[in-house]
Amino acid sequence: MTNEDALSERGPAFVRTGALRGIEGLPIDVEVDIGSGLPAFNIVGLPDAAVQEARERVRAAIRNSGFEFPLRRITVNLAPADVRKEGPVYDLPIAVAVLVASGQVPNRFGRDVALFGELSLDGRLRHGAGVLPFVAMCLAQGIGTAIVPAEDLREASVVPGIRVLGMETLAQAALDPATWAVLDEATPRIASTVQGHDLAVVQGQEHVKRALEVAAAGGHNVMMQGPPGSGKTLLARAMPGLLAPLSPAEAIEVSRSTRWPVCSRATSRCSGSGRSALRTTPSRTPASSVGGRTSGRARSRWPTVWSSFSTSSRSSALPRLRRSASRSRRVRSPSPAHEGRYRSRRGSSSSPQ
Amino acid sequence: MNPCPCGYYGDSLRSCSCPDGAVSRYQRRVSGPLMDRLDLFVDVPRVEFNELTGDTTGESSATVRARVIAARERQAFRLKDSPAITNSEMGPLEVRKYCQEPLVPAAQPLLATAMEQLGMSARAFHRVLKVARTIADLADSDPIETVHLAEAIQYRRRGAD
Repeated sequence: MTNEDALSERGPAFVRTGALRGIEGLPIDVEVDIGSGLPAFNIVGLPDAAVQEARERVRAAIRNSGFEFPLRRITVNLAPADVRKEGPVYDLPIAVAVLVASGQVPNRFGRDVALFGELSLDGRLRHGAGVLPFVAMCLAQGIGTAIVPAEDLREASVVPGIRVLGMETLAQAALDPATWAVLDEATPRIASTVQGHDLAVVQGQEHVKRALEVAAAGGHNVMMQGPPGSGKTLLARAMPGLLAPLSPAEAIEVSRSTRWPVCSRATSRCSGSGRSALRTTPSRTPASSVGGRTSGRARSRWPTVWSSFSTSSRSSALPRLRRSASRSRRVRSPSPAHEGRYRSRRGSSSSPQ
Repeated sequence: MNPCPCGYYGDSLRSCSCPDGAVSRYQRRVSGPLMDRLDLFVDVPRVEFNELTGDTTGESSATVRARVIAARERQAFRLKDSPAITNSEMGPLEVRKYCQEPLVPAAQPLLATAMEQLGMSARAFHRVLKVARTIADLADSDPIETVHLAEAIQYRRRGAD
């Protein structure tokens, strides 16, 4: 093992990653300092419980990947320190920074590479939620290479103009750059599954269908009024099938505002199958409970974005909503119904679980 | 939404059983400012027996979607230098350039009458023009004809019934 002098000379190691603030990715620097003192492993920089637990995963993953976990005083700083860090996706950057700081891996992670991913105890990389905002952030920051779990590669590669590499294990991510090319760029596949009813199942109501067509074509909003059973709900359900597929840029923004369903997993709230990016407009059906949801907790994990651009949201009984709920659609000025965008600082510090 | 709490206000067959004042109370729950922001307000009446049992099927979603995609392409081309993606996102300057200028002169009186008779706000005015632009796009037409404007106007919610 390297002697203490060499270690302190090396100074703190640093790699880049990202956090989610609201729906925007934010660059985060992971700094690791290995100093003398009683063996310890501390993470500072507003980590939540899941980030704190990274210590156990990182320790095991490093050992089980054939490296040595340094028995020294290890301090991990997630900077900027005033942004709350949530979720397990800091495992990989922390582990790599520890390996760099202890001299087991040469430092070639400069400012041009960012890492992202959750580790399992045996050193494999697991799916991490929020990969798309992360990669979009990397692009915006001018980072040349984003390293993500192989499982998330397809979703991540939706973002054009940046090299995204999928890694299976910590050892792979921490090894020779020559191996990086092997798992290079998968072709993005943007899925387009039409959901909901077909318009043809609705008998009559041709004028309503025409109105829906106009709404779909121009992005206008629609209100349907009529007696029970006349087909309003059925027609509304046909709406997603009329909308044009999302452009890649739209898909990215939509998936950012709806959080992760770009690539829907089986358990995701968005329909569609496989790990491919979303091409279909997500639609929501806010029920009467929406009042509770829109006025939800400040750090709600699922802030309800009613009317984000390109999403269709439908409500069957607007007057039945609590007045405060329907008004919350336009609670901020200018309103989402007017501007087509929902602006919220709510959930500003939450991130995918 | 339904027109009233029981749902049958204005229905052709069943009569509304709501007490006096309930209908307007119910409708008032959706505020005027919100209503003013609605582009397309359509009545969905009861489906008649003949219509329901007839074997005429309407267009499929795919057919309609093809037209929607074509209209979106027209918009994308027109708005390629602007942050707006769809007609509904156009700002006042774009409305002037892409909606008011291509409006055929013959449609002007119609617009003036509609403005006055429906008591349209300035916002409603812009919204009607944007909807008319979309309808013209669906018809693959650069100028906005009177029929396009007329269709857009009839989607405005008429004042209190």
